[in-house]
Amino acid sequence: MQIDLDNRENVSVFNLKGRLDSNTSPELEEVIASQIENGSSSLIINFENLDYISSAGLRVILKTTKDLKRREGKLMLCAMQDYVKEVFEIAGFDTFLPIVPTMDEAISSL
Amino acid sequence: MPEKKLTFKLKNRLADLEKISGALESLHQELGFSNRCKCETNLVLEELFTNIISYAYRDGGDHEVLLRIRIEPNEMYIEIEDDGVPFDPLSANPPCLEADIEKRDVGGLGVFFARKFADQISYERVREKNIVKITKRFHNDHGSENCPPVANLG
Repeated sequence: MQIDLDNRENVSVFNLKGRLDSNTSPELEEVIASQIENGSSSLIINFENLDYISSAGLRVILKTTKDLKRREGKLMLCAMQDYVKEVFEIAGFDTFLPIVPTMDEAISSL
Repeated sequence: MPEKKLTFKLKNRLADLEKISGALESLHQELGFSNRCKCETNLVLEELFTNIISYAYRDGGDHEVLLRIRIEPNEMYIEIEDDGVPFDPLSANPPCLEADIEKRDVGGLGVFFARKFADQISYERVREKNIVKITKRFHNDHGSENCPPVANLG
């Protein structure tokens, strides 16, 4: 999986490409944790080019959400492909995670 | 129509997840079932396979996990077999889907996904082996099962 990090103004954007699974999720967890340690408190994860996710990926997203909540930060998730969105919905994660269709909406929500 | 049968020998290591996704990608290209079907099947297999890696063996060593796929006109029939300790991956407690974020956990989510995205799933312990059997019907990208049988198994 490729993670392109784009730190713009006060927002850290993580552009994911490929697959977020048991093999690749530790790397995402590290990259996000590192940005949060560096003071990022507004994060966007852009799923536009993410083709696949498993429970391991959801685990990282949940952990990130909890970590940010403790620091009064905010996370937005955007541009999910159908299969990825379905996984979040089936897990019920869409009831407490902010998922929006576009990057623009994600930015304006922060 | 002749059946198509494939067997993959995997090691109980996360790196072999790539063999699973590679196999499904090849079948997807060759047989033309939907991307969603490919991803959902991959999810079922990943969740089961990672549970085997975590729970079926106590010795930390390398073990063989067999993946058998049989292609039929309207569905895939898949078996995952390991020779670890008796372990029924389907017996895990379901996750609490209504819990708020503070209490939410991902425990049990893998098995939940496996049950949700497989059309049929069952576990047996046969001659010292754990065998999980999965049926996954082909469907088009809108989720409906009204799609032609996959072409040309010959």
